[in-house]
Amino acid sequence: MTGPERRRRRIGRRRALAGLLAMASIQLVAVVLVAPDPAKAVTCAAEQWTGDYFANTTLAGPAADSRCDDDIRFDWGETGPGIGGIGGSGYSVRWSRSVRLESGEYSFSATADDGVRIYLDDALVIDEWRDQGPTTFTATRTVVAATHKVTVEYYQGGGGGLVRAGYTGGGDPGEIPPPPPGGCTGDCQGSWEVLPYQSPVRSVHATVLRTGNVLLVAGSGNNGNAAANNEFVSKVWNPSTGEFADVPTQEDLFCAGHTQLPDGRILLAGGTLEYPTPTSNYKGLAISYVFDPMTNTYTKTNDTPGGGHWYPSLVNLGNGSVFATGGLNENGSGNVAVEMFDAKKNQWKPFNEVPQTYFYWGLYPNMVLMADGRLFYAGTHTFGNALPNTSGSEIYDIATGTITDVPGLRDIDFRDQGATVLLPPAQAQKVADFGGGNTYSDLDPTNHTDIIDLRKEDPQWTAGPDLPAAKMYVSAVILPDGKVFETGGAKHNYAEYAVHEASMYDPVANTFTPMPADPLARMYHSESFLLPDGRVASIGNNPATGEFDLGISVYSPWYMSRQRPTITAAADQFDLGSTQNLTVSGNIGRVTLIRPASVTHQSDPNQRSVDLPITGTGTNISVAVPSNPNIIPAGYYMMFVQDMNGVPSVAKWVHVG
Amino acid sequence: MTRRRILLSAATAVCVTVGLLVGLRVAGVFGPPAGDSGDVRPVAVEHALGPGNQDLSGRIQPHGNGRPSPATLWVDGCDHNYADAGGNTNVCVPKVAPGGRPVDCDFLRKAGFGPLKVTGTDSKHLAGAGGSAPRGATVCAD
Repeated sequence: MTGPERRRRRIGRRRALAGLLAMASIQLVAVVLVAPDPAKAVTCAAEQWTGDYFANTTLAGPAADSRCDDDIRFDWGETGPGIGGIGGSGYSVRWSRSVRLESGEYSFSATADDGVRIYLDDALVIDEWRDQGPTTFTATRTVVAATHKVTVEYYQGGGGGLVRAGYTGGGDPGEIPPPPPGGCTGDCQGSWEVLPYQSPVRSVHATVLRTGNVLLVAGSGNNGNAAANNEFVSKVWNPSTGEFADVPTQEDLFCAGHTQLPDGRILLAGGTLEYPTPTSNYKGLAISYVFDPMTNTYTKTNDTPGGGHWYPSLVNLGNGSVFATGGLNENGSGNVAVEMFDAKKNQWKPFNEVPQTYFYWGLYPNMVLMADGRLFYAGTHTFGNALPNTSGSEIYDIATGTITDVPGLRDIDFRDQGATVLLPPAQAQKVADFGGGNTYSDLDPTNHTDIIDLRKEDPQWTAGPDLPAAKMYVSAVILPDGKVFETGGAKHNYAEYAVHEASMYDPVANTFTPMPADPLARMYHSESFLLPDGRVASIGNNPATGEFDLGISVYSPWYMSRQRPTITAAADQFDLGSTQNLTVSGNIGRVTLIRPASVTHQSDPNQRSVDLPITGTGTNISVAVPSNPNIIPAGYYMMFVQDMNGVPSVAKWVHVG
Repeated sequence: MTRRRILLSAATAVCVTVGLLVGLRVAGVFGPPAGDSGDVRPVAVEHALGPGNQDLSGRIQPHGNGRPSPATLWVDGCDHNYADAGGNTNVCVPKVAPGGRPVDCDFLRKAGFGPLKVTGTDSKHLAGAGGSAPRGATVCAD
């Protein structure tokens, strides 16, 4: 080997070594660059999950990072969770939170690609730790009331990453309260009064506010010319003084859905984008506003991500969120999106963060929050008939996105504009459907009522007593004496077909007792609602001719003419699970919290009356507030005390939750 | 030379380690153990789009097709080919009348309707005698 050759070889070896070193250095640098930082210690809110993210599939070693997640609902695909040091595959996550669970049966669910486990405390509930395509698993566990730790573990090997996990329950509705005390004896009919003034607004939507006033919303008020001229109206009615305050209304909230938020403001969503033409349907807006009853102003929120909703239903959930679905979208087709309003963030969640079943629930579907957090669809609605191949009634599990048929509802194609009411007390978990018809038929409506006990393991509808009259557009209002007042309605939507009939339903005796009828016709676009003093107001009537009756009638039940008990002292805030001291007059036998109405098209899915068990007698009594938020979703309630003669007080407003 | 060997050894060790880690990952050595889920039952396999319309076990039956549901034209039960005399479309000429009665001017007058303007086609033949009024015509005026 010559000198130059040795030198070349030496240079070559050096170059090779240098290259190898360079490669190693690059790899080392790469390793250093992708190496995870030590996990940050995070402190998450009680309702959040603490998520520890690992750069391996075995949850091994220190976490690459930690963060707070509101929900476990991620479709990361091949991009991964967006954590430094973690790519699109080969990672794992452990979420945990400690939360108070109420006694009862809980349903846990997980959908994962790939493996997933759920622990309740330290016990495995779901164990599907393997490579797999997106698969959903459920399991049930009976839980005792206490603070529990729930842990979800997930890994993603290769391919697209997806994980959803959660649970519903909280489910024990509590003891069934005793029946209301006393009851009317003699002169029990009550009376109607037509107020000497009219509403200045086509009140298609009515919401009782925590001020005792009533938000009346017309939007364009089923007047196409008003819509064309951008003339949208809302008023706040003071039933005590007869005054109406104007509320500037920027967009057409006609045919929106609405409900009270946990803080007492009113959430409205949807509305009318377009009136029908000879070739098209009504079309829905995706707008949403929050109304503040203290300032009488609307504030716009983000649009509903799933598109427009003309005739949506909004349902308060136990966690403070508001569920919305149904109606026609911006193209006049049925909107199959499920929307979720996050009351803490004051906005609608992104579409892909909400469980979707793509089920069309129809228009103003009457859905009731059950004690275990699921939603019960009672088969009544406004426009449209029962969906094909269904029993007309279903249970919808929000967490798992599954739907279970509920059998036994009669006349499933004659429940349009029938009333649905969660019978008092809410703890009994009984729901009633009153009447209904078929908008597309020339046939008369039904006088059938059906009742279902949702406390049963496999609930089924059973026949109730017949209404005194067959009708649709039925309004059902829970009264503070434990009865349900049904009023208004029509055989068909023409003036000569108004049904002037009202009756009192007694949930204990399971009977209807005829009562005086509203002097005014109450058909399409009429509402009835409980006022804080115990009277019932009825408003609106919009028959097929396009006329709109602006008269207001008020029904005074029997107890309005009796000596009323009073609440002289009570806290303004009732925490869930708390005991509250009340100072009262009268011999009190029952205390109730009634959620103020937010009703349109006879539909108020959130109407409920919750009994508060009493201890003590005399002027100082204590009441127990249920701890299950599904029994009493957060918000302002009207508290009534009822004496042993069955006479209720005037309401005191309290905030719950 | 020694320094060169040390550097060479270090570089080789790094490469071998990285290679081993990659190889073991591919071979699934670090793969998760299979679990037994007891009373857990698989409910559905979801697809990238639209988990509705799937054949699920038991009584759980999600419905829907992942698309907006077709809605009946004029879901309110009204025939929107007509407006009132002022052109306002808030009247509801019914698609069908109660008791099987024909939707004619006699029925509409008794139900309280005034004159109507045809805004689309005179689908109810309110021009009378089975005829159809043209768009823009006023019908049921007498």
